[in-house]
Amino acid sequence: MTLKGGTSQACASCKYQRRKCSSECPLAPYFPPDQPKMFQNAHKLFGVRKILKILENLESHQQEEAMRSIIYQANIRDRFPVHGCWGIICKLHFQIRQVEEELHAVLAHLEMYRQQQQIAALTEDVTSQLELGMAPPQPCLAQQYSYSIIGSNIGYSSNYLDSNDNVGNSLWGQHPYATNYDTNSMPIIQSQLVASQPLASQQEEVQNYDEMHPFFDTIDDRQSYIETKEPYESSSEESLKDTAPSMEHAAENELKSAAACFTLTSIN
Amino acid sequence: MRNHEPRASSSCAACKFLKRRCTPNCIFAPYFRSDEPTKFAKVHKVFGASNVSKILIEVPEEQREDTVNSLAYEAEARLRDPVYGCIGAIALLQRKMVELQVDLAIARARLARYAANSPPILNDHGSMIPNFAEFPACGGLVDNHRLISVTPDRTESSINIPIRLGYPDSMASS
Repeated sequence: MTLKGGTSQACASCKYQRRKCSSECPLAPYFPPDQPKMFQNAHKLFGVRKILKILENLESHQQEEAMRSIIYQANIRDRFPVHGCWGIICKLHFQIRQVEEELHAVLAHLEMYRQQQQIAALTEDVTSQLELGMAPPQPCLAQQYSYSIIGSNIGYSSNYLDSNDNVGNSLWGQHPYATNYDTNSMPIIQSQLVASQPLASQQEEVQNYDEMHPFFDTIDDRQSYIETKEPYESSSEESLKDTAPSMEHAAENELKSAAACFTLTSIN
Repeated sequence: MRNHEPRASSSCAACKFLKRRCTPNCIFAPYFRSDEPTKFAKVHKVFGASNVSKILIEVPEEQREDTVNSLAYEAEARLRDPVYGCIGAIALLQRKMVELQVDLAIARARLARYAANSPPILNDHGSMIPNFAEFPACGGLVDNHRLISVTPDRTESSINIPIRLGYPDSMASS
């Protein structure tokens, strides 16, 4: 339906409702006439009255962001009629866990290499001092140094390790409706549901974005799919754990060989 | 013998809220129990009973409970945050994922340098432990600093996200 005497087309909302689209139509800026599906999705999930009710309680500068989130949420619900955005949140949690595990494993491996290099550098110093006929090093000090390296904190202080519980658990922590989901489709999520923080902490996080503006620009609803690969198995992680004691043995062997050199030199 | 209709005390939360008789084939009854009145109240406030009913009719019966729970979650999120609703949580998680992926890429690059310059680390059996730098990133989620997510499978039994999460081209090249 077109405006009387005007050339602009009615918005998708007014077209759907078959009514006149005035210049003051509150939904016209968000539902262009050439995207009827977008309005249909929003109408199917929320309905016009509910959408207007949400908007009327917001400041004008918040209304645009609210509409974008409503449209996005409705589109997701159209694609996933059963799980909607909840399913995406669960999937993201799962993926984050996977990446975190991989990161931890890589950092542990990295730490072993660093320790190996430090021990090698230490034994080089000891050997060179012995060759130069310098005063014998204090074995106990060298031993303490190497043990301090081995015993040092291997963990990498990533921001996410600390914040993970705050963010992840805040979404599902004590949600009363989170207990009956299909365990076949989301077995991992059960292990992630640890009690604690209500959604209020999520509210605090959300209010900090000014970068929500570019967020919606980057979301591309056009489908461009890549097959997910199987997550990297943690068998290598187990073998990493096996190498930790072998590193200690290597350090001890290095010290012993250094001590042996010292003994031979002193005889001469 | 006359079969009496159940009294109002057995009405589901939805029918109690809507002040109507709860019939035996009420679509809401299995999912909005009378001991959870706020669940339906929130869903109704955000989406409306009519919309919820239409959504439930369109999904298979065995998936309706999940549908109701997801709607309840989204309704609660929208009530707490009228501007972003549950989309705020998605944005937060996506940002966290991006940051993690960057950390992982940096760590893998460092590991690759160490692996190239250092002797291999052996386990107790004398076998070389695998070099993480040689393996692809987790789930194929990283590709030239752009997050590309998941599969075309649209079946609800396995949740996949057909959303391409990425940055504008100007940032992707950085």
